[in-house]
Amino acid sequence: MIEIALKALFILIYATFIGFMFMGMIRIVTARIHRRVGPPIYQPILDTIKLLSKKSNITHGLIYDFGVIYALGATILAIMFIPLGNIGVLRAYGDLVLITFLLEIPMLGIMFAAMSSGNPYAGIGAQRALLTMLAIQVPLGFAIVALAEYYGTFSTYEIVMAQQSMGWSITALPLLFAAIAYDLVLQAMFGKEPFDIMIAPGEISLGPMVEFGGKHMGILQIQHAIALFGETLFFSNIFLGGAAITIFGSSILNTIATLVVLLIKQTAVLLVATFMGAIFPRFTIDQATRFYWKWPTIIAALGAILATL
Amino acid sequence: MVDWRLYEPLINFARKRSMWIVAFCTGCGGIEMPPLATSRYDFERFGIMPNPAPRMADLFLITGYVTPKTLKRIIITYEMQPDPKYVLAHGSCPLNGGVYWDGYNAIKHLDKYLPIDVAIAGCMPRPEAVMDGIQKMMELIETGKADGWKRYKENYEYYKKNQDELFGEGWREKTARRWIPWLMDKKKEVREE
Amino acid sequence: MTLEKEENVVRQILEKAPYAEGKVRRARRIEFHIPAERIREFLTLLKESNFETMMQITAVDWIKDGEIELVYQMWSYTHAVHAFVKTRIPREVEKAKVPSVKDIYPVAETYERDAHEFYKVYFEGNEKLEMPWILEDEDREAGVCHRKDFDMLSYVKRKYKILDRFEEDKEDYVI
Repeated sequence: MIEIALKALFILIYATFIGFMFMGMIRIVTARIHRRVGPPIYQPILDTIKLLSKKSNITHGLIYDFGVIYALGATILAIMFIPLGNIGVLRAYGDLVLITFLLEIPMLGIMFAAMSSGNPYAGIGAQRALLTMLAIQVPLGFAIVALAEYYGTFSTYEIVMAQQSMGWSITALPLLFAAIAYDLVLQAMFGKEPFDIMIAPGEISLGPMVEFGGKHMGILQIQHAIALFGETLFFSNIFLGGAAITIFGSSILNTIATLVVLLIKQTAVLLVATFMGAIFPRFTIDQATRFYWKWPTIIAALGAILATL
Repeated sequence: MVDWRLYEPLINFARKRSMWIVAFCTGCGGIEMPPLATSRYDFERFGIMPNPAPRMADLFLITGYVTPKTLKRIIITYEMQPDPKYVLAHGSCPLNGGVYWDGYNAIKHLDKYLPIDVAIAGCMPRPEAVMDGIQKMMELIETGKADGWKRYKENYEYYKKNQDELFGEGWREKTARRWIPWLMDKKKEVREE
Repeated sequence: MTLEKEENVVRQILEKAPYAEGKVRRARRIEFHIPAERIREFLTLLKESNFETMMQITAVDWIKDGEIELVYQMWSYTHAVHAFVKTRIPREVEKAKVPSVKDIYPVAETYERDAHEFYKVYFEGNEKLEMPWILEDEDREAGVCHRKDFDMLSYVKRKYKILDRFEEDKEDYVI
């Protein structure tokens, strides 16, 4: 009992810390691409401390406060279900559909809070974010179906174990297609160009987050950090062969080795997303929807059909 | 409970190394912002980032002259920011009117209407001078002396009296309603057609 | 360089408008003086002779003559020539009225608003003259205008209460 609580606490702290490092990595890699010296890599931690220490908070009622906590809670629950070496707490119960669902709820929570604030920019941003979510469901669905057909199971833990013996998922052709489609969906889930129409700094003043200040924004930064960690971890588990190392004798060394291998894979996913984000401008919402319902859907559907053969 | 005053050095370090600017470039000095933000005099190394939402920003750069029309919007935006907030004034126009000392449309002494923490001299100050001003701002935050927001809260009657003398009483409602008769008449025309 | 093209343009227009006087100032710049009641005819004529755009309506305050001079600045893309069209109207606020040209050149509506706000010239036929433009309400109520008989420095001193670089008894000052 105590052991499970300690593991959950460790996962939470580790996820928050690594998530902040990932956010800092995005900023510093983008800065180096622009040939600038970027901020130090621990910059998002300073941002969050500054936001949480603001002395006045503007609140627009109960739903406004509740939406933010709801988003954070759903993200924390999502990372408990993803297998993380041998310290994943609820990994036996985490299947693909559940984790995908839990990783999309935070956007809904932010939408509640944003729309209840009454700012017209927040309303426009919330509409666009919901449309983006609608657009990414189709390729996402086909990718999950491709995985399930290929491995014959929906459970994430069994997929990870199967990859230890059969090699990484992306070496199989149908799953390569599914991985490409899922990577494009990841761009929208992170909120990076070219699909950052829901954040859209400067165009609609940060969209749904225009009214959040002070402590609400601090909680949203923590949520963004944990969400980055969770989404990259999920991708590396199902497509890049998440690690389950048992070669060392003691379990602590095993855990550390597992975490390091997973960290390398997560960083690779993040860097691919950052490089794509630094190059492209922003799509408008109808271009983004049309894009997602054309090519990623075709690629993922092809993957799903090939996986059944 | 935890006594947060013990953590003041850490909180001041975080506040000085991650100032977010409200992306509202008043006046002619807005042209000095891109050199600061791009690769030559990069200010993102200090954690400064432009941010379009006033609710999340703490630093307000008043770059250049301020007209009464802009000052109304600046005051509304300044009051939307959460405490603690800082104001950095560039150029000689917010100090004493600068080149427009005899103009009917430029505010002569900005400190009467809005509390200024650091003023940078020049017409327009070069990016190196602005970096110097930002360094001084960071020093003031670190020692806890950047208290423009406290001065605004404590002396609100003084600032409000000056603002009302300049704009007339009840200027917020009048500004918000100014365009409505013109827009409503147009709408009536469209509907009648 | 010869100014043949400009002289051709001036001659063509003066043939059709005998009440006007025109001359060539330099290359690409010609000037016409017309009486105030013929302004609409003249601008219609200019529009038909390929002067496609109106660039500005400028007002000049001749306080000693007691008149305000309105300069309509027209540009022609086909001839590549800038034409000044100058008229004079009496200066008193009740008598400074001129018909509006916004149906000939639709952009004139904005420029007439500009001239009305700062020089109190009334353009008949333009109903949007009082729309909010550059001056704020408190300035408009105090009657701020750029005419030479409005004492701008004392208005600034009353409004801002500081005019610390102006000394009343100096004629010209070096700042």
